[in-house]
Amino acid sequence: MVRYFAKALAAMVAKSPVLYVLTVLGVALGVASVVTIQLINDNAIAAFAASVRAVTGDDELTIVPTLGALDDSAMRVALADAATQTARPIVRVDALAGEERLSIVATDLTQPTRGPLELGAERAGDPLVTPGWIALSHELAARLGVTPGGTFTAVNGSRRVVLTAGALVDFKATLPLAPSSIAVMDIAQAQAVFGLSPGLDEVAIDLLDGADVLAAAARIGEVLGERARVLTPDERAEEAAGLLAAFRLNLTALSLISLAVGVFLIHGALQATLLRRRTELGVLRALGATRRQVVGLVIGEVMLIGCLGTALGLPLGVVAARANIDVVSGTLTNLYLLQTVEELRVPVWVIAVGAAVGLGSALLGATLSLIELRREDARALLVVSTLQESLLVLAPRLLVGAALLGSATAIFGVAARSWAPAGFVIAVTILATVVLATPWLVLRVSRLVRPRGFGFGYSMRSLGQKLAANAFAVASLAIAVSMMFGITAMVGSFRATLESWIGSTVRADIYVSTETRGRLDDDVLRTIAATPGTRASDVLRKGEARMGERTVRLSGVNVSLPGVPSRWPLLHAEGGVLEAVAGGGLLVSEPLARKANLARGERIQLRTLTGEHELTIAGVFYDYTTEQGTMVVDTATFVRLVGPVAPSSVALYLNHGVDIDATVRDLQRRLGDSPVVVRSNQRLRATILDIFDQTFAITVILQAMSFLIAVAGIALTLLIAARERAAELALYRALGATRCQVFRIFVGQGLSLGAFGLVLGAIGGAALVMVLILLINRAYFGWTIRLALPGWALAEQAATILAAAVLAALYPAMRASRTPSQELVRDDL
Amino acid sequence: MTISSLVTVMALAWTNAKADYAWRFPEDHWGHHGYKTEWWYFTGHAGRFAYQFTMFKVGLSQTQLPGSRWSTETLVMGHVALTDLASGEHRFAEVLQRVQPELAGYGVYPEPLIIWCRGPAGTSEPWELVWEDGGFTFRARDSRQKFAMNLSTREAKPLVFEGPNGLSKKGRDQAAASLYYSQTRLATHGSIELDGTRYDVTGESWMDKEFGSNLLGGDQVGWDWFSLQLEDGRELMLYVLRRADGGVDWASGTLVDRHGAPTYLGREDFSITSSGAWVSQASGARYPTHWKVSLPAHGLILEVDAEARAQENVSRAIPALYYWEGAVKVVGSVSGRGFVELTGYGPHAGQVLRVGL
Repeated sequence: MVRYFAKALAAMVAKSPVLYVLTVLGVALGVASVVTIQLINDNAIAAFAASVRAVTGDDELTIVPTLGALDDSAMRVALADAATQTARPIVRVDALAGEERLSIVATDLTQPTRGPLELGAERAGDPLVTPGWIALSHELAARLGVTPGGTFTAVNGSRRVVLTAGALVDFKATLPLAPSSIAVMDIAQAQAVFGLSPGLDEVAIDLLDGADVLAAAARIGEVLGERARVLTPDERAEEAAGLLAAFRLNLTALSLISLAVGVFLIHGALQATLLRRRTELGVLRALGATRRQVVGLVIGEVMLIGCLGTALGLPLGVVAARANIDVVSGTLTNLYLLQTVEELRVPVWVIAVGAAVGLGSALLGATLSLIELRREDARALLVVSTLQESLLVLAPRLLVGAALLGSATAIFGVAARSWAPAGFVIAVTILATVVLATPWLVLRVSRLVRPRGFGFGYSMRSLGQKLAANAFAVASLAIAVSMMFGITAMVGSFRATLESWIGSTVRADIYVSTETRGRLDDDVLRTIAATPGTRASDVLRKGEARMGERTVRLSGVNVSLPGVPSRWPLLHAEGGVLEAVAGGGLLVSEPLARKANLARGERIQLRTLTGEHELTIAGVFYDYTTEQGTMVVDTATFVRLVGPVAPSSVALYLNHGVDIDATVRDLQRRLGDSPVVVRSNQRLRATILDIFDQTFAITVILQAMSFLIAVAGIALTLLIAARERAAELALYRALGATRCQVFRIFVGQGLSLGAFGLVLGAIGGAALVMVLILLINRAYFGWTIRLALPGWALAEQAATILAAAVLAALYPAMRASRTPSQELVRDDL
Repeated sequence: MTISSLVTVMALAWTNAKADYAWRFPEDHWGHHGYKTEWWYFTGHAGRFAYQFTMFKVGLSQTQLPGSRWSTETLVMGHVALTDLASGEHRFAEVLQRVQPELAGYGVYPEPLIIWCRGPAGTSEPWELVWEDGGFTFRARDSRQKFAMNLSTREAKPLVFEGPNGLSKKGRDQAAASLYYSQTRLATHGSIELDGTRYDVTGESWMDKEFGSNLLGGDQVGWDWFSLQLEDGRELMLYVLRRADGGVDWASGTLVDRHGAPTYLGREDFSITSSGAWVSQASGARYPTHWKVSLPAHGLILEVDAEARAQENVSRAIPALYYWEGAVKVVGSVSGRGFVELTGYGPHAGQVLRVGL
């Protein structure tokens, strides 16, 4: 049997290589999409975890402050515990050297440090004494063009400092995932050189061998009380993972949808292949082959395709992930201030998942056929039309199923408002509904057409004849199109909402801030204040507070500026809000209000460095700057809550008629060397949108993938049709049809498939957009997005799909038109 | 004389030891500003124990970086060792911290605290040297290695300068010198703990106090130092600075008579021949274990023997820092006991010391 298998397969492949290639490709693409996303997901988290552990290593415990910074008493508490071996103070500084990011970890370098940071005895004092002494990775030093002993400038906030590259260290030797931006300084140096406020960001504790980690954590935590928490490395990574949760969820959801499309395609491709072999298999059964043998043949072929596809898809996925890791990195850095992902690591489990997906979906795809093959009656296999008939009968039932599913979804949607993953469930069921409804729709609509000649109408009508294959092609295209349209529409709506929001919030003429999210020092503030033509200036201060178990960002601004309209678009427009805030109330951003269930008029407790405070919520405003949520208070309130903290940015309102660009240039000139960014209103708006576009760049990749998969499905279907209908076509040729006409028929079929897929996909996409905007986004991010279909983008995509459908049909059409009349006498395929 | 600073010389000049230093006591028992290195060095015998307690104050820089509570221009280092002469077992503990309110510090006359440092890992009590009731008290514990000492001293003989007005030259170079005085006999009492048992002890200590900025000359790789308390009431301090080839580069010493009057010895006044060998597993260094010391002009021929061989201190905080510091017995013209310190032996000879000194 094995020899037969080999020979038969070889013959099949030789006869229609394109078919097999496409099938294998379909499997590969499905596998690749899953692998890519999982790799990106995994690496994003790993990069953050690695940066957390980079120099502190796997310290068993870390003390972190709940608010602000730790004071030296945390060190004392850590050192006093009987289980403590060492306790290290840690201060983290983010700086920029030119374009390069420096993630500086400052600690007590008189104490033995882990791993690679070993200085010979002769250099032991350097880090404490050489001004600006810093240890860099070899890569970073090379990028900065600095050799040991050389100096370079770095910027933090609005402060420019000179650093000396004291040592080059291979951090990756102990931590392969440590980003090359990691650098180490002595704590005194970092605090003095960067002018940091006193206090520590963390205290890293190493326990004695054999100590009970959890007990030590509990003891130390109790002494510290509420001002700090004691975490294990896993807990720290989890916190980071929490930060990224929404982001990763998005990616995972998208990958699952890609997977669904992939599985679909694999299924369709295999279906097509197996359909072709039905006759052959029927003959074998009639000749006495057992069911087991025949099933074995099918499984063999399926697994072979599955293996080839997986073998192709796995490396493809890794390559795609590598190529796209920059995009994701950029997003992570921008939004979450995390380390960039520099090197892709490929853990075994991702490979395993990819392989399982590839092989599993191949098997899944063959299931229907396998069921059929197990039938008693071998003759059923010989008649190609049985499958078609069964689908014809099933179609209305499937439609009923679709209708039921649809209504169930709607009901579920209303009922399960508060259950976060509801949105995903509904998205899946929407796609499922589309799939189930496809056969019936294709059948009915195609039958509506009364062809008048041997042209496009005929193409459409004949769709109903090869229903199984065609329905699958249409369905897979429909899913891909749904996803593409849905996401395009959501991103488009989001962008439109963001634009209009920018319009009502970004109102000042000039914005001044720092590149490293640091603070502006007094000299800079004075220079800004001296800008001529200013009618008002808004100063932003940033801090944080604890609300229950939650840490919230707190912004202090000059709420009522004379002559400046309100910059906070409120959910419920009401009078007196700004006055209330000026009087000590606060504004809460929409995402925070949703997540923490807050409403206007509520009184809340906030704990800050200055103590406990009770404030009233004056209003909820739309805010898209972060999904974490913010609270806004007036400057006076802020100083009362947080203390006199230096501002992070300043916005200037100029008098009417003053030339903004000239003022910007003048201010830049007056600020001279200060590493401060000055932007005009226009520039800031453009920057915000750039960041937005970059964030969603990743979705483009997935869209492209699904699109490819679906178009391949059309090509596949038509190719098979070309072969299967050979006799029919030969008949037409014999009756006088020209090759050109046959060619047109097939192209027409491709176009029809494309059109059907497009229409169904548009319906699915519309439903998907609503789910994405109203359910998923609200549940996970808390933003309000107003539906605003990006007409041009969608039209462009539609045109591309139709064009691609036509393109996909070209090769099959060519083959079909070449069918010679002699095919009439052949009755094997 | 013992180990000193381990850091590179700063561009700014440190104060050099000068012959015209104006001494004031007890004020000069405390730390001095402006000198790169300073140490307080106690060795002694009490009951069946021989002990060492040393605290170093190491200057890193003349100026302190403003703007950080962690800024420091000084490190504090402590070395403590205990030899159980009954069994020959030797234990060594060390600490090294920057001067910071939570970690280490040194005091200013007239406050009692002279210098202190956090204890080693697992030990909650700090190590400290204080001035109490007209004498020194020093305390150190290492809970993990299970030993501790808490000893108070009283001057039994007057303080002696180890050189004219305390200036002790270390080489031909003018600048190579320190300000050095000793308390050659200190009546000592207190407690020593070992493996959970506390022993109340009395005994005798020797204290060296030295400070300076430039303590090793050009090709010197290490030294041999002897502090011997003789039964006839005299004390002998000798040191020999060695070159890489083993030859003597500089040598000097002090013989203190019964009443505390010092006689300064030059190189030509004594000779030392060493023999025996003990090789350390930990450092690879090969130390002599027996010395013949002769001072012909004073009628002294002494045989000095290590009371236990394995009295080496190997630092883990500072790579390549190890030295032999051990209790010795004296027989010959007069009997006695004392301590010998051997530095700069072994494969890393001179590395650590040269850089710092």
